[in-house]
Amino acid sequence: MVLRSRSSKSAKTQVKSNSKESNADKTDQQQQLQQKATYLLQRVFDSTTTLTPEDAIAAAHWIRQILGIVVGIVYGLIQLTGFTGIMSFFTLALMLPTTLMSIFHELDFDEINKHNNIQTEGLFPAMALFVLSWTLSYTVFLR
Amino acid sequence: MTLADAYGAFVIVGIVTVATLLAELLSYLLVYSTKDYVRACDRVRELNKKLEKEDRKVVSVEKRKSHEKSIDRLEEELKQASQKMDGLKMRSSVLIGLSFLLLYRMVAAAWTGHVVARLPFLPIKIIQALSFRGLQGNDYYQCSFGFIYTLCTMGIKSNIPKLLGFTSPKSILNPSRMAARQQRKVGTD
Repeated sequence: MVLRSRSSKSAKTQVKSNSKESNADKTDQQQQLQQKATYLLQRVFDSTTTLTPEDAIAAAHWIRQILGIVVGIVYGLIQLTGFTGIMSFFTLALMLPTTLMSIFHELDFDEINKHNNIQTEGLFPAMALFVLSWTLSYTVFLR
Repeated sequence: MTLADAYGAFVIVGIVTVATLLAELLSYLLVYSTKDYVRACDRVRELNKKLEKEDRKVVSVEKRKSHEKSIDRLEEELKQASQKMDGLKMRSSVLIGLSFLLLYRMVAAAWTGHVVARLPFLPIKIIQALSFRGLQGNDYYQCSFGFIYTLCTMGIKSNIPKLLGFTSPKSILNPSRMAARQQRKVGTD
């Protein structure tokens, strides 16, 4: 009886430790899921979270695309013309994403650039989106 | 020019967006959802991770040769895996390329000779060939359908697959990595 109770006790403790491990796994998985669920761009402005090199590259890409559309519409709205618009957007798109990310996070650009060049990621489609939205809004708001 | 005059440009943007979404749906059905493609993508991701791990390893002088050999073997495997993945994608890429050519013909038939927008800048000569194609006169601020179509192709068509999460994993065998590896090899020799 004693032996049985001892073995049952040890079995219970093993079960407990197993359940603790599985609970820890579950919480890890939950945390990972939560991290994935929170928006990437939201994490860029949250210094308490971490950005992997892939996240940083994806964030730089999407910041440039949004910037392209927004700046294009604003330039069209204020009826800005000439190459000043193109050059100012180019400078902004080149510098803003990396500057924004380095304000909120400590980024190792050498490590990130092993995956892809963060300085130019998405620059070409962003330029196209910028010229497109600028042309369309300029045409619509033309006096 | 007013909104009513510029509706052509908006219609072209809409056509390209819808066509790209349909093309991605087709690609999903023909390629992205197939077991072979999913397996090929997983293989590339796995090999990328393995290669990164090997790259980070610090080895003693005696083990350096075997380490280099294992990296070479992994690189060769990764090259083959990404070639297989690209090969699977090729069929749908050709089909989509042809359908977009057809779409361009259709848009051209409808909008050639029409001013669809007014440019806020004077384009340089090379771009003028595209932005003023099929138009008459010498007001180079006028924009033809070709320019808007090209901008849509560059801006919208390249972003939609990324937005939908349909981009295939990139192999880490990029030129900067190869150059760094070559340098390391020269250093050890």
